[in-house]
Amino acid sequence: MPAPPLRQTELVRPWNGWPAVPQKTLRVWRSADPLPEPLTGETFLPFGLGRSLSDVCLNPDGILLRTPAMDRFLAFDETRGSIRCEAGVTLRQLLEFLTPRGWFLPTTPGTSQVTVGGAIANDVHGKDHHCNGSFGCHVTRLELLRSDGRRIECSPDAQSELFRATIGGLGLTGLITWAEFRLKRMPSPFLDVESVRFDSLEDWRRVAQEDSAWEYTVAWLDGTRAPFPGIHIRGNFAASAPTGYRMRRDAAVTVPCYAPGWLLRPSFISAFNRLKLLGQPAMVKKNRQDFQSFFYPLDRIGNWNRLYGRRGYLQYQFVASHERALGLLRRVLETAIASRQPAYLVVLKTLGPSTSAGLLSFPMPGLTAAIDFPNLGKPTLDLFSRFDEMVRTAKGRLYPAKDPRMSAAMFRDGYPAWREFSRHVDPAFSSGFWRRAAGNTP
Amino acid sequence: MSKKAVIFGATSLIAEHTARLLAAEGWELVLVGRNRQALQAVASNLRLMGCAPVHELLGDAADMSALPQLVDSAHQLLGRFDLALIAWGSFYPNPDARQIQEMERINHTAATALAELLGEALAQQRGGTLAVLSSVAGDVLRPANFFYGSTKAALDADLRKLRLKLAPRGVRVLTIKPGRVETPMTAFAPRSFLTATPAATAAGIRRALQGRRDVVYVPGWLRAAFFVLRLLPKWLVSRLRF
Ligand SMILES: Cc1cc2nc3c(=O)[nH]c(=O)nc-3n(C[C@H](O)[C@H](O)[C@H](O)COP(=O)(O)OP(=O)(O)OC[C@H]3O[C@@H](n4cnc5c(N)ncnc54)[C@H](O)[C@@H]3O)c2cc1C
Ligand SMILES: NC(=O)c1ccc[n+]([C@@H]2O[C@H](COP(=O)([O-])OP(=O)(O)OC[C@H]3O[C@@H](n4cnc5c(N)ncnc54)[C@H](OP(=O)(O)O)[C@@H]3O)[C@@H](O)[C@H]2O)c1
Repeated sequence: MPAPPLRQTELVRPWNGWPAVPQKTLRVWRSADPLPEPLTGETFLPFGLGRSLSDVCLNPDGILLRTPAMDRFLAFDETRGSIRCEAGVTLRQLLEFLTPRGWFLPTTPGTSQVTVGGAIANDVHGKDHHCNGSFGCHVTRLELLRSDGRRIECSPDAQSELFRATIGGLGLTGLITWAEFRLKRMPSPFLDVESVRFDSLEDWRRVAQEDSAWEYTVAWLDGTRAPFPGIHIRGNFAASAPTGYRMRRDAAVTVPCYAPGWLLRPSFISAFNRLKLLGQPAMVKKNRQDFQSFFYPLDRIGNWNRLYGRRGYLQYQFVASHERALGLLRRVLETAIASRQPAYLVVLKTLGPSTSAGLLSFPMPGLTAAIDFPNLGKPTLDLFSRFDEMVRTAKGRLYPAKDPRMSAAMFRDGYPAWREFSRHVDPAFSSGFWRRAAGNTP
Repeated sequence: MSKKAVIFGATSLIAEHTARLLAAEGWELVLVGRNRQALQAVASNLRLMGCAPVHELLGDAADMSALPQLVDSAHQLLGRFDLALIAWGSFYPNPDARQIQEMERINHTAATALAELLGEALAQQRGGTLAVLSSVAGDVLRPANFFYGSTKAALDADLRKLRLKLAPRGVRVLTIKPGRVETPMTAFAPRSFLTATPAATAAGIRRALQGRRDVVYVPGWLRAAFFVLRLLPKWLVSRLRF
């Protein structure tokens, strides 16, 4: 028996930088390893690359199990398009392996710096949700390691309840050691992209109505001024193009340290947004982009979150039905402007009808908006509480992966399956998010 | 024709990352390890990373009587070794008598016995590289890893002897001395900014395989650092905290 591992304390932040928590951490080296022996009262939480924007990846007073050393590919079916790998494999690693072979991820979030385990546990969605559903929809099998030492293979057919709890299960049902999922054919590494300017939210709806022929769509808009103009971007993989594409390195430039708090000011953002709109004078612009530029523009800059300064930023991401979402978004953005905390970045996305794969999956049919604010502390939290009321009235819900402060009431309203879910939570697993959102349950 | 390597202790994280670089270059590999499941995961991954065959052999450093048989099996699978790498190692921070014995057996006795067997196999084919993972710990015996360090120092001495014996027969004996690397072996100790990743260490090892040195430090600046440490008086060394 080798020496027992040290529970080293590190200051851990989610990607948005807040909250920063001193965390005891351990590493999981391989999928075949047992879980470490817990000390009495200690709880575990898996931690991939910490790309969540909330405390779903934090476990104050507990242990984080860092997974990225579990980075092995286990099986690849090149003809059927299916891969099995350890849960710490990153989407970036997968892309490096798959794209030269003509395969692509079944769907992808806006960064490739996330692990397979993280993508499943948050059941992440991409620009193609209206066509392809969330990541969990493509998982065919996974192995769960529970604190009692059992290894449970789950799939939509076997142990299906535990499977449904684990997809979007926020790391609470046990450690995912490996997963198998279906892939998507990639005819070329390039996409044909169309960018369409819109002048207002109503105008956006008109533009987005012509989306049916497009697999990937997303809208960016200027949240600092009504009626919220922006650019709607849609793309399809090009039918065929010259091969031999070599992926660029991520983080070619890196933000070396935390920017001073005054750097990103509202006036600066507003000017930046105007410039961005001026940058596209034509109503419609067409071009061809490689998949890295299209899906992961921010991955080129390492630690860009530091631009927000030491206090970081907070993202408010909600989903609501097609009928209510735009009105809700307008109220939210106007409230932000009125309280002199305009939104820095607003991204709007259609979520499709595909039924969510998990009990706690965020996506539901409608529109989702992700809105970034610098973290000013209490004023920002107060503002978010006001948004919460609007979201509840509109019968929407918030994305746990992005929300480090959502109240228990807000969570339970949005996720009525939480009670059923809680039966599947491993008794030795917990998180900051879970204790806040479902803790002290009757 | 693809190059061929046999790796003992292939589940070691440093060895695995080295094997990834070799597999990507098209090397055919025999992996020897004692933990079947761990070995399988390592091998499956390497098969997908590379294009040449990857073989698994189950074998335990602790069972010295089985070593000749293992070397034979590996040789039969590959026909020839361009590289033989010994990577297994055992570390206990505050060892009791039994643990001291285990470190001595794994890091020194078994490693030397295996090095001699592999050296002979390489000599018979008149060439190839025998690479052994030792450690900077053998250079200067510090309180923090005194017993581990002494097993590695003994290994270093045996490798020097073997090098003299095998050089005329065309075999290169390479002693690899990493500093602290983040692997299960060192998980009991705090990490610092000096702790290297297994991937970076593997890259250093890969470069060393191409070079001509007999003893390499990974990363390279450790050579100078330990040169200086060796000059320190013993009473000072015995107070070092790392
Ligand atoms: C720039 C950027 C863009 C983003 N874009 C999108 C987007 O478009 N759509 C979207 O949905 N999300 C998006 N996200 C959020 C991100 O995709 C998710 O938070 C993702 O889950 C992070 O993965 P991770 O590996 O870093 O996991 P972590 O953040 O480390 O952990 C996330 C959760 O997964 C659990 N977990 C991790 N590994 C395992 C495991 N092996 N077993 C069990 N549970 C595990 C953790 O316990 C935690 O609950 C974005 C984030 C960033 C920073
Ligand atoms: N990590 C460092 O900081 C560091 C620094 C300098 C030198 N080194 C040397 O580098 C080599 C590789 O180590 P690593 O860091 O990659 O560590 P590792 O990942 O922990 O691997 C250790 C290897 O040794 C095997 N092993 C351990 N005890 C054994 C025993 N009693 N019998 C048989 N096999 C045993 C393990 O087999 P299982 O997988 O079956 O357990 C594993 O293959 C070792 O020789 C080590 O001394 C390491």
